[in-house]
Amino acid sequence: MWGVRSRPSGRETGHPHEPRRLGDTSLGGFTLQVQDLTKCYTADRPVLRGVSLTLDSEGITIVIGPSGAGKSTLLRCINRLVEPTSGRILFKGTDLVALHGQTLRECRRRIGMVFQEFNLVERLSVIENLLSGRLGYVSPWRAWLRKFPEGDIARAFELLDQLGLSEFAAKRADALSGGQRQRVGIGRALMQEPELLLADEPTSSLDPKTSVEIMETMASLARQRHIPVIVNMHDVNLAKRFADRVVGMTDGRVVFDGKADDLATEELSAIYGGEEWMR
Amino acid sequence: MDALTRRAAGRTAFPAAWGPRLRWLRDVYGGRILAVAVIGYAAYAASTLGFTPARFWRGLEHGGLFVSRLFPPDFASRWSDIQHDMLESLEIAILASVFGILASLPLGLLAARNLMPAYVTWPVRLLISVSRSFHPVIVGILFVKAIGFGPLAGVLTLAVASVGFIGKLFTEAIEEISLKQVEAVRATGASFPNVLIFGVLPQVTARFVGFSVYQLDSNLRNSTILGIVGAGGIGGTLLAAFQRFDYSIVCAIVLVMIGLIMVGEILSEQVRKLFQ
Repeated sequence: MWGVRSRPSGRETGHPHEPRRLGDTSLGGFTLQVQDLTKCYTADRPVLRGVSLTLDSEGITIVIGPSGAGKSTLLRCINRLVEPTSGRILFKGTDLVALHGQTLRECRRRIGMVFQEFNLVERLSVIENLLSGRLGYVSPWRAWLRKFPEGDIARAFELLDQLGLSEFAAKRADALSGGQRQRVGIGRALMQEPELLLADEPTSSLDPKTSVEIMETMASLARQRHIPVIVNMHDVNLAKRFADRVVGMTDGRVVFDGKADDLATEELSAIYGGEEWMR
Repeated sequence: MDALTRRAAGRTAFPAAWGPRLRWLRDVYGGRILAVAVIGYAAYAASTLGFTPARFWRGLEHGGLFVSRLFPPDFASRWSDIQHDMLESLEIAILASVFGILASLPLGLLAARNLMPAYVTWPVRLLISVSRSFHPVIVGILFVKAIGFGPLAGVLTLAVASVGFIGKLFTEAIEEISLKQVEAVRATGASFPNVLIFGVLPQVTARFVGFSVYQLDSNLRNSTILGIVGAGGIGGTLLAAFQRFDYSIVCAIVLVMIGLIMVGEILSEQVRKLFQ
């Protein structure tokens, strides 16, 4: 009912990059409200212990915390790649936890995701990987024949150009370097025309220089399109550099939520424990 | 257990109590005891079957006589029979491969435990393993009894054999794919068929082609034997030649078979290269 088809889409009007205002103001401008989310993979060991988080309609939120704090599980619960044990996840007012089948997929295609290890389909070409972002909208028959709508294909090439990958369009994804692959990963997520972008440690498999470049690319493309972004990461300095807001998690709980500038020794030690590592 | 692992586990000395002593014996001498047992049984089996050096030498003499009677091969006197039955074997192999592969594609998918729930995979896995349980000759006899003599029985026999083998290989190929790629495609909101087309198929296509070509090759070999049980193909002609002691015709048939299988091998190598 409230799927993408009902929105005015730049794709059809021939202005693919016309900024769209997202976030219905009647809902207070919140894109996402996570309420008291818990997840237990095994019954007695919860990974998320009642996480609550509210996300505005824009800006970059970076979730930091030690390994095993539940950052990745939190992101995967939001697009239901992982089933939450309890709690609510309101995405533009709809509770994602209650959705199944078709309605879940219709919500999922409005949420883009970027992965730590890129997770491109290795044996497909770069352009096919980008267009796989449109798979929520095409029939299996058209997917099989790669008959994507002409507008999607044009937009994919344009995006490839913005990502600086035009010459690689026909190359197989496994022929690319790490940084290039992550660009394709970002492109795939943006092809969804997402209303929310999730990035699960997008720079952890990359060198420091490439990490900054990737974060810059992702931040600027998301800002252009007014897409709110949630990024998981354990590099505190990189987080401070790009975050509009930092959320600190430890042991399945949110222990810090504020501006990057407010993140001092005391807060960092609450998130990661100890102080020795900061010297 | 090897010496290094034993040392790493801190177990080298002969223990005092009987339970640990038995375990120590198994760990230290288990492999050697097993080897002695296998060799001993082989010697025993050879003695009960009358497998003596004298018998072996007599066999070799007889074999030499047989080989001398094979040559020269006689292609001419029964060429039309050989040609007709050889082509029939080829047709049986190709048809059986096509049907077997077409059936194996959905079955292999349904049996993959990483994509399907247990109540789907178990019956399908059972079906595939039953198809693989019997030698094609036994299945061939069953089909000849059930639907009568001729190539149709041969086609069905080899189709069943194909499902048994490549069904299993397809399943294993699908179970070994990277689920990260699948997860990413799922995260785009793709429907299950679209996840299969973009997330699963690209990862397995090359291997599927390899398995299919291998099966065609194997069906070609097996189609030459089915005639012996009356399921069509060159096997029947070969058996008849043996029974008439027409060894020069036997030799001709065998040479034609070798030629056909070598051609099949060369072609399948080319196809595999194409899909790398």
